[in-house]
Amino acid sequence: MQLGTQPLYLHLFIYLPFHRVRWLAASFIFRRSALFFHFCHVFSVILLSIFAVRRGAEEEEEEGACVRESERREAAAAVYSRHTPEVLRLFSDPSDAGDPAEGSRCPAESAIFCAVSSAVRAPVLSRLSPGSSVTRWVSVSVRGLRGLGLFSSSESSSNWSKVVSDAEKIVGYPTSFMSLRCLLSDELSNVAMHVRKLVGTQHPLLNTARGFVYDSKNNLQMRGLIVLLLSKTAGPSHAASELLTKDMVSGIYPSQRNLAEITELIHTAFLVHRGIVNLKEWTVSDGPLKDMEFGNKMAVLSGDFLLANACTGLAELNDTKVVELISSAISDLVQGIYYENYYNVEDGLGDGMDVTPWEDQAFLSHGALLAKSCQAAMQLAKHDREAQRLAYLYGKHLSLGHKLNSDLQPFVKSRLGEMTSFSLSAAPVVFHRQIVGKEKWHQQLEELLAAVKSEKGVSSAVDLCRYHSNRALEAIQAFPSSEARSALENIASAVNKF
Amino acid sequence: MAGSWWMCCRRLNGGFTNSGLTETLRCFSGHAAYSSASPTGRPSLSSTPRKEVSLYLTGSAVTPGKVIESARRRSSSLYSTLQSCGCRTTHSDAKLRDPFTLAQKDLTSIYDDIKKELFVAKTELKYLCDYYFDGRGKAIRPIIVILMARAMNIHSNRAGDLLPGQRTIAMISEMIHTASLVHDDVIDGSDERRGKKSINDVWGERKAILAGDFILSAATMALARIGNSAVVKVVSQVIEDLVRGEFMQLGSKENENERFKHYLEKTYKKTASLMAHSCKAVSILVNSDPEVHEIAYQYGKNVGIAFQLVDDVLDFTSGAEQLGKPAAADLKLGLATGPVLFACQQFPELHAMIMRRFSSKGDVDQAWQYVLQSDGVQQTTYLARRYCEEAIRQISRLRPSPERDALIRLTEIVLSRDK
Repeated sequence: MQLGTQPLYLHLFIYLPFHRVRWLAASFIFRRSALFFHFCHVFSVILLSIFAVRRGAEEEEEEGACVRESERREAAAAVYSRHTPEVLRLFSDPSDAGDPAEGSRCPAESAIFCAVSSAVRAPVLSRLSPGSSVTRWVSVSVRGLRGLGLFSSSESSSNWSKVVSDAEKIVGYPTSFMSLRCLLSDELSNVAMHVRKLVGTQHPLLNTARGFVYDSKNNLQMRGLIVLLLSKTAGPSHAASELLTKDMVSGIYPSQRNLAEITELIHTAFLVHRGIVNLKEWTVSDGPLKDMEFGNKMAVLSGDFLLANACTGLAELNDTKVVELISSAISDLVQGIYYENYYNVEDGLGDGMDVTPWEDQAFLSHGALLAKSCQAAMQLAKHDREAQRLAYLYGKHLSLGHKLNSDLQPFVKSRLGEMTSFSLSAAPVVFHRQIVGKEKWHQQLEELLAAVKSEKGVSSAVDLCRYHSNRALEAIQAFPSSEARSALENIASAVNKF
Repeated sequence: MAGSWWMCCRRLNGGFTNSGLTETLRCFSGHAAYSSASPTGRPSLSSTPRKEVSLYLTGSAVTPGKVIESARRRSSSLYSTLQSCGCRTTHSDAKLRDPFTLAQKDLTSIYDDIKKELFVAKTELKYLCDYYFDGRGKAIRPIIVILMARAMNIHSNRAGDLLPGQRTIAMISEMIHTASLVHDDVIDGSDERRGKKSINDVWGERKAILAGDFILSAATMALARIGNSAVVKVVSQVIEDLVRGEFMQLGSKENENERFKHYLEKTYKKTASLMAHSCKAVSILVNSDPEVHEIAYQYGKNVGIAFQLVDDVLDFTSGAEQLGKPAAADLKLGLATGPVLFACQQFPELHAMIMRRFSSKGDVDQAWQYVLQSDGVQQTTYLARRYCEEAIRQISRLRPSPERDALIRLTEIVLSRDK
């Protein structure tokens, strides 16, 4: 498929205002054609198209849709499709940030970035790894969760999106976008070309790859954003002399920006590594064995590549304490993921786990990275131990709160009688099991969803979520008041909303 | 001094004769040019038959015919050391240059320390991570690092003992190597490693990948704890090179010249980079002269490439002797290594096979035949020898020490190993 034919699809995306139809069209196109062949080019084109649609929707909500704006957008889209790598490099160069004092570039560009970054959301935190027949029904639940969308209700989703896009404007630099630079390298575009062979199989790498492209509604790929915001909130360094204020762009040191990028890289790497299939558990319905092996190979290589880039990036920071912190975050992450599915598989039939070990495990697999990155960001600016401790607390509690929020979605959103799938390691379920006891738990396995909703599981989880949100808010109070701090507060509060 | 040398030779050999001594003296003059590293002194060393070396290494009883050969080598090492170190007391001359013995003290606790670094609460993950650190590996990378560190210390006017940071780098090199092995086993789908079943065979691919990631993260943590940013930069480069090397294996080049260059670069990235950068890192810790760092780097790089070239040769030759049928693991994976590339010059049919990565039926056997008929193996061995010579040339620029000589000895061991 040649580059020249792409505008056709581009038009298709731009002029389909309805998200559902667009999603269907995209999935149809993806399955049929060799779009993956020029993955990196198409990828950014589609991003832009999603941006165009979402931006259109947002502008209707806000006041004043500017005609000139849409013209610029289309021009930018055309430029994008022709000169993608160069354009991307241009956009990602911090020296283009314009007036640093103002904190953002010209509105159109920052709008592009906002939408692009919110468009590029990796799949949900609580993504499990399907592929084995044992956890197949759980994989269905994950896809169902994705289809539901984390914020499918318009009110909370627009609230969340608004919070996020405001936050992004403050830091003047897109965050999820950053890992794209790595994704567009030669090695990974090589991988992308190979990934098309997986189309039609059940290999999870395919889902992960798709998720990068049009999972615009899900997930929280915003660790980088939070690191940036926290850096800005804490302000310039008081201690160190070698960190010059004039190096700051939008109130953030370049080293902190790099750290944010590294955090995203690590997160992405583990998303990819989560999607590896155990070949011994392969069944015919997964697709040809050779393809699954191949998919594994691609997943391992891409994940390793991202991790390697993260490591060299860490080395460039010239701060061994930070390297140690982030490496310990990686090892926490591995431990968390190792037992992520372990409890899940056991849970269905045997004893589940109680809340405290659940929380520990959830922290390891979801919280550790963000918490330690926040702490590391403070370390980079040579802030004192207290600031580091508070940043750590903010990161930890926010991510736990968010995990709870995403776990709660099926229970809070669906109406009674509507069958939605969910994960057995979700918080309300864990609480429920603890409250209700083992025998009754086994009895209730079939009517699980209704039972959880009617018992106190949901409200307990909501309380815990509120607790974490409040702790995060407390931690951030100690920092000087600023726009960035308010954004962080908004994010922490938004996590509390259902 | 000469008396003790004489006596211990007699003790070791039991049948030492005068003729052996004159032979030895003749050999000395050949080795006089040793320190200036001219290639003329080399051939007698490098032509050592393979079997003898393994006997030498295992320390089993030697037959009289071979005694003289090995005695000549040992005494020549003694002579050059005497020449350069003046009144340095010599112990058993075998120990002087044997890399394994020299590094033994530091090596014994390496694996235990590595296991301490892999601190994790959950038992299964811990078991997985410790799986390959059971002392069964060749441990060639830590040995190189330890010897290089000592040689560097002596060169920089310090005592020979390892600094804690240097010790850590030796551990890290082994950990990074093991992590890459674990991932490679998943990528290649192999079910055996170092004499036992691979992790992905026993526990599945997912856990194998996670274990590899964990070992890597532990290595990075240990690296950070050394506290030297330059060292961190140097070693993290290795991780990136390892992955890029693996990617390079996915692709293949059309042009023959490019193919060889591609092969050498891939070899560098996958094998030599780790050795080169670890050597450089230990030199950074004791010495601030960039030229010295470069010596260490070049030594590691050349030995690494030679090591991999010999490995590729063994893939063709060892199978024939021990199994009686081609092992040809590289061919089966579709990889065209040194011997194949050389054989391609004589048998153009191999071109097509290389391009399709030996995927057609009967390709593997056919290619194997071609390689053995051609001089691919010899040419690759010769190339490995050239790299070793370069490594020796580099390392000879350091101040003399037992460790430096052991490193020189190591290149021969690399060239003449059989497994």
